[in-house]
Parts: sequence; structure tokens; C-alpha cells
Amino acid sequence: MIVALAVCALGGLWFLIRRHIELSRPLAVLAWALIMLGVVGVIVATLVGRFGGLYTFLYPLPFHGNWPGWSTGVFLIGLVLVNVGWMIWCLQMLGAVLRAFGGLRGALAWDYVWHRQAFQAAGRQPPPPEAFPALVAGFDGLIAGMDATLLGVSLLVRWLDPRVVINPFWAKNLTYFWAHTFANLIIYMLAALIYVGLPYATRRSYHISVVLVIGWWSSMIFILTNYFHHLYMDFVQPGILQYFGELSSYLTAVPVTAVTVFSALMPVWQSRTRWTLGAIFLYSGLIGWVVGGIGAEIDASVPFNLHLHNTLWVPAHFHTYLLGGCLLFVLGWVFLLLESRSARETSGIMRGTIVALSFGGMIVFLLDFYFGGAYGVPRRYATEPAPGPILAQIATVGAAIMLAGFALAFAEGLRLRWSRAIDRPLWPGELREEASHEG
Amino acid sequence: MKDNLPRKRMVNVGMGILGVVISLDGLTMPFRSHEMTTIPVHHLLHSGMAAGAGLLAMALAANLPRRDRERGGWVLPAVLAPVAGLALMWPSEYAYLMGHHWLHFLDHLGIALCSLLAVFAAQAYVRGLGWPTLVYQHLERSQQSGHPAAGDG
Repeated sequence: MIVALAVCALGGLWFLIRRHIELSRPLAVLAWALIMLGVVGVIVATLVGRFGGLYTFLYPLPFHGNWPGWSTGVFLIGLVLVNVGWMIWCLQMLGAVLRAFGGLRGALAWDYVWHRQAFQAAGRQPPPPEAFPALVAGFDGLIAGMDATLLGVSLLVRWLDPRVVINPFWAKNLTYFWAHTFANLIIYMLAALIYVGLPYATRRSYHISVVLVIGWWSSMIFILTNYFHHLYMDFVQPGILQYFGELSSYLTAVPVTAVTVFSALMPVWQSRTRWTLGAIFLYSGLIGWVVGGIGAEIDASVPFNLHLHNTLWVPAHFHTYLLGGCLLFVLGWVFLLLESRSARETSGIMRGTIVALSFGGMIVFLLDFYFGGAYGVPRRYATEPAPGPILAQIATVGAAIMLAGFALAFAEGLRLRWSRAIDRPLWPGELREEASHEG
Repeated sequence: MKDNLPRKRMVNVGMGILGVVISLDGLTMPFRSHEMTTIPVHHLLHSGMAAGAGLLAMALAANLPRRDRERGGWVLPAVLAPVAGLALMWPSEYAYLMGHHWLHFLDHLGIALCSLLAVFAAQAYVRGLGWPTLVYQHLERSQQSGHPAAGDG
């Protein structure tokens, strides 16, 4: 789920940044191919080799399971390949924003924030909003990628040479630093689709502001330190890091989410927004981002974490922001593209059915996770204590309804694609011009 | 602008000399010190040597012609050289290497060359990416101090 949405985010952001500066296609294809090859490795290790070290693969679990040694090796090599592809993409993205917007100072919009009068007097423009997700993902992603390189090589060395003993606590810090940063960056990368997609739906431009820039600076720093909230139960972790983890969790999400969501609502106010499936999915994704984010902040608060740690609350919050946030951003973007290039339109009945099934099912599916977490039902248990089983049954019904909605959306997407008639790529400038002619 | 050029050149030369001195110190260490340190300390020394090699790479990369486009061929060395450099820091082999100075020297040479290549390649790919790569690599190697080998004293 994480890698699938990450690949969507990598492709989407790459496409948006390529509107500002030329990017090498072979490099992007290489990054994608390496990630896919890594995914194949993980699938083979898991399904054929029966590797059961979980997606968190915390040391020393990968080396002490009831599965053959080769499956551990294939799993680790798969992860290293995913990481190599990820790092190539990060280097390309960071390099792109440095080239396009005048180095790090320009890409950070430093002068726009601190020397605004001189900046405007010189006729300079700050980077567009989608440049900030690219900068943050490129910069933080490289740090996380280096961390993953270190972890991956260490685990591979341990696999090849059992004499090597790794400090489990050190490995846990590295694992969560990489995995949390990688998973966390997905939604920040996909925010770029909001910045470019919403102006298309509302026919209003998305303005960059000092508050938005500072929100992104905050995220850039604290995305790297909020993973500490995964280690609250590790008593040997220095106490100061636990406090810092809680503070970082709030400072990562709140500024940029609040500013993005608030500023995304502004263009809709008294606009001529056409509530197509694309616009509905994009806007609903904002709700998933906020609800999942609040669920995450609750879990990242130490007094709540004492009760919610390792319960179904954890999958509740990440399913909300991945399924109800990231996936909807991706679907919204795809439908905006399809709708802008199709001769047909989605009928009101079809739109209503898709929305009712997808969101209705999703709410039932996610709520059961939250209730389970609040009741203290543990996750990753083969046999759950009550009320886990009944909640799981209700959630299954919700998931089936949601999947029916997504299947309908998929069929509708195909129908729109088959009736492709107009080639009108998403260029907000041109569209605004077009809108002004209409007005 | 013109005044800045000699100053930049002086900074580059200074950085290059500093990089050579640090790298040479790390490379010749196997012949000067025969005492086994702890693995974390050994890795910290490697990270210092890697930083020296990175500084040398930045000084060398300053001579590359300015270009606004990507030099795509440099991306793979920038990503893969650190992997090779880390693989050369194989903790369970240190005891053997301490008794074989030339092998130990070759190991250090490999680590330094990997760092040099990674930083140079990143800077060659897009100007400005060398510095973060240098810092990341330094942190990466120093962080490997959390990686004790069996029998680590």
C-alpha cells in the first residue's frame, strides 16, 4: 500500500516539476524500474519464501524466523533496490528545484520571506507551491535514503556473515527513521496535486504565501524527527528525544496541513467549481488528510499512546490518510486529467453512486479500526479479543462496499478514457486565460 | 564579482589541501597504529576520512564547467558508491585486517575512493548536490558506530 501510493506520488510530482524544468526521462524510468524490481523481490520473499519478518523487519526478527535464509536475503535485496530507486528520484527532484529556482536559497523562498520588499522590487517570483513538496521530499528523502542504505547494508552483511551482531536499538531507530519518513512524505508529495489540481477545478489560481512557505520549512525539519513517537515504549531511548518526538509530530503536520486545507477551501468560496468526480475526490482527500492526521496526533501524544500503542488505532490512522487522503488525491488527479480530455461527462447518478459507495464503505471500514483501537484491540494478533472479531466483520462489509465503489470508478475512468477527444493538458495559466475569455 | 573569483579559488585550493591531508592521515593509519580500537571508534575514524575525501571531491568538482542541465550518467555512482563504501566497513573482518597492514590500507583506500566518487558524482550531476551528499555520507559512516561486531571490545 505504501510503495504503491509512493510510486503514484513520485510520478505525479515528477510530472508537475517537469513543467518548470527539463528532467531526464531515462533516469525517472530507471528509478521506477528499480523500485518495481525491489517490489518483486519482496513479493517473492514473502509469498514463495514465506518470509515473515513483517514490513517493519525489526532486527533481529528477519534472522530468527521459520523460513529459509534465502528469503531473508531476497527481502533485504528487494528493500535495497527500492531504496536505490527512491534515492535516484530524490537526487533528481532536489537537483531540479535547485536548478529551476536559483539554488537552495531560491528554492526555499528565503528572500521572499525575509526580504520581501527588495524581492518584489526586483520583480522576482517565489517558486510555485508544488516546488515545496519537491524540495522537502528530495531533501528529507535523501537523508532517509542514506539511513536506509546504512541499515540495508548492515542487515545484508549480517545475513552473509552471522558473526556480525547489530545493536537492535540502533537498528530500530534507523528502521523507523527511514520507514516513517518514507511513509510520511507520501502525503506531502501528493499535496502538490492539490496545489495544481484545485485551480483547474475552481478556475482560480492558488497563491503562494509566507505562511505556506514557513509551514513547509517546519515540515522539512520536523518530518525528520517525528519518528521518535514510534519509540515511546523503549525506555532506553533518551527522555529528551521522546519529548522532541511529541513536539515534532505536531510541528510536522499542523502548520502545512492547516495552511494547505484552509487555502484549498478559499478558491471554492463563491467559485464556479464544477463538482466533477476529480474535484470531489481531491476535496474529500483533504478530509482524509485532516482526520487521519488528527488520529496520528492523538496517538503521538504520550498519555494517549500509553493506551493506543500497538492497538488497531495505529492502522486506523494510517489507513485514513493513505486510503482516505493519498488515494483520493491520486484518484482526483487522474479523474481531472480524464475529464479534461474526454468528450463525455459522468452522469449525476453515476457520480452519486460512486461517491455513496466509496465514501460510505470507507467510513464503515475505517470507523471499525478506530473503535477497535479505542477498545484496546491489539493489532497483528491472529486471534483478536472482543470486540475485535465483530468489528472486523462489520469492517469487511464496509471494505466490500468501498471496493464496489472504486470498481465503478475504475469502469467510469475507462469509459472517459475511451472517449478521449480533446487534448488539453493541465496548465493552470492557460486555463485561467481561457476562463477570463469566457467571463 | 571579480574579487570573489580568487577568493573562491583559494577556498577551493584550501579545501582540497585539507581533504588530501585528512585522507592521507586515514590512509596511512594502518601503518602507524597497530592497536585494535572499538568498532564504533574505528567507524568514526572512517567517517572522518570519508569527509576528507569528500572535501577533496568538492575541490575537484569546482573545475567542472557550469551547466544548467542534468548530467544523468553521474547519478548511479552518486547513489551506489556509498553502498560499496559501507560494505567495505565489514566489522567482523577488522581483527584480520589489523594484522595485515596492506590489506587494511587497501580497505581504507576503497572507503576513501567511494566517498570521493559519491560526492564528486553528486556535484557533477547537479551543482549543489555535492555538499548534502558529503554531509549525509559523513553521518552515515559515523552512525555505523552503532554496529558492534561479535567480540567487540
